[in-house]
Amino acid sequence: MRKAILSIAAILLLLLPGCAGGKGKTVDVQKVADGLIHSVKFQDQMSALKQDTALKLYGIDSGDVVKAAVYESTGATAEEVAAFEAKDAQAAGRVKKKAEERIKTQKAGFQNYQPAEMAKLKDPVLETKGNEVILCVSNDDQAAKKALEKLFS
Amino acid sequence: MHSVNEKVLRRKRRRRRLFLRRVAAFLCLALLLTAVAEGTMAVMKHLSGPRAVSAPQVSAAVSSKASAVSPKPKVSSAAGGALPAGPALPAAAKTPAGWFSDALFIGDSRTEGLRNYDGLPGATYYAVKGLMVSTVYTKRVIPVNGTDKTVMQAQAEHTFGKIYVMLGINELGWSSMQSFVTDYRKMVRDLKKDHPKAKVYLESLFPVSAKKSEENSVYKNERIASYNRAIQKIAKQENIVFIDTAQAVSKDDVLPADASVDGVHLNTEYCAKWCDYLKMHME
Repeated sequence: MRKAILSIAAILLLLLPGCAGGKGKTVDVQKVADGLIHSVKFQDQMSALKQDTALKLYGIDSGDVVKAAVYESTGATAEEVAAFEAKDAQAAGRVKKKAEERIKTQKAGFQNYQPAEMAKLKDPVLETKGNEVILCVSNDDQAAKKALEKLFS
Repeated sequence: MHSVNEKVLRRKRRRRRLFLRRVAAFLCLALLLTAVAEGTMAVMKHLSGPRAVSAPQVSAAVSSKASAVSPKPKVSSAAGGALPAGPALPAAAKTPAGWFSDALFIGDSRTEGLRNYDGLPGATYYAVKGLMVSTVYTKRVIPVNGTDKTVMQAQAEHTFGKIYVMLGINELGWSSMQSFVTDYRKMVRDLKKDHPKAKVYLESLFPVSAKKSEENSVYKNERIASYNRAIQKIAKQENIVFIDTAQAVSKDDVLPADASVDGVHLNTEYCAKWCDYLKMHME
């Protein structure tokens, strides 16, 4: 009995750090965006946006974000990389919603303009890692997912 | 015998209770320590966050903006981007600070590129992929106080001192040039009506690359040139400014091959040239 309770206590202690916040590994968003830029083969030329410009583009409240790193294509394609560090879990939820709206807007824009780009926008990589929200629009989702796995492992 | 057994049992129960109390106390202490550690980490992150993040990171984004990632473009400079003045609008001294803070840019995906380059401090952009002189009245794509409005509705609700327009590339496929001219003129007149004190600038359309012009049945540089002549004529008739922005990015009347991935949309280096041209040309 005694041994059983001690074992349970030990297991609980081992699990506590993981449960307390559920954040996992945190990686600088600039490193995340740069990692995706270098790991995924983009067809377009990708350029970094100023943080304020990126937040305006996504319609994100600056109070929700600690840091952002966003790369945009020239407009020839729908390719895009965005990594936001939200101030907390609730803000991360709001940022993710804005990223979903951005995908919707891009779909509406490209639908009749360049239908070939719709394949990239159909189900792009959109992940939340702790308080970070990451979007990668490309035609190589597998490479993007693999890069994120490596960055956050 | 019975009392001895009872005594043993009572002792055992007491010991078990004591043990359980100790375990509970130990778990509570462990939880408390974890919470304190989490809190300390959060406070440390909060304290170090803004200093490590805000200013340096924004400036890093600005500096990295000049270099597209794959392939890396050359960094443009104001001197390199300033081209000889167009015939319609003479070159002036570089624009004073705040010149673009009351400026509105209306355009399509090419103007989205200018917006993303963000080299004109304070400017407002109603830049929409595929926008045309007809859809400025119909496409509800400009969010204003939570409602999506058309470009013409949105611009009427704000005050602007300068309005720059670059539209026409998406209208190249129209069967009638006259329809383009009619719609363009109507838009210009409405802009003037909504902003009687504003200066309206009509930008010439950039050519496409030689390859694009050869291979595509719609994006023909000859057709772009004829649209530009029509836009220039409208500017003259409506007594507003025609600004030959095509000069900023053209070489031998075509868009150089290194300016664009698809022969239509400008990369960062050429957005910088466009930006510099706008800064050097005002009336």
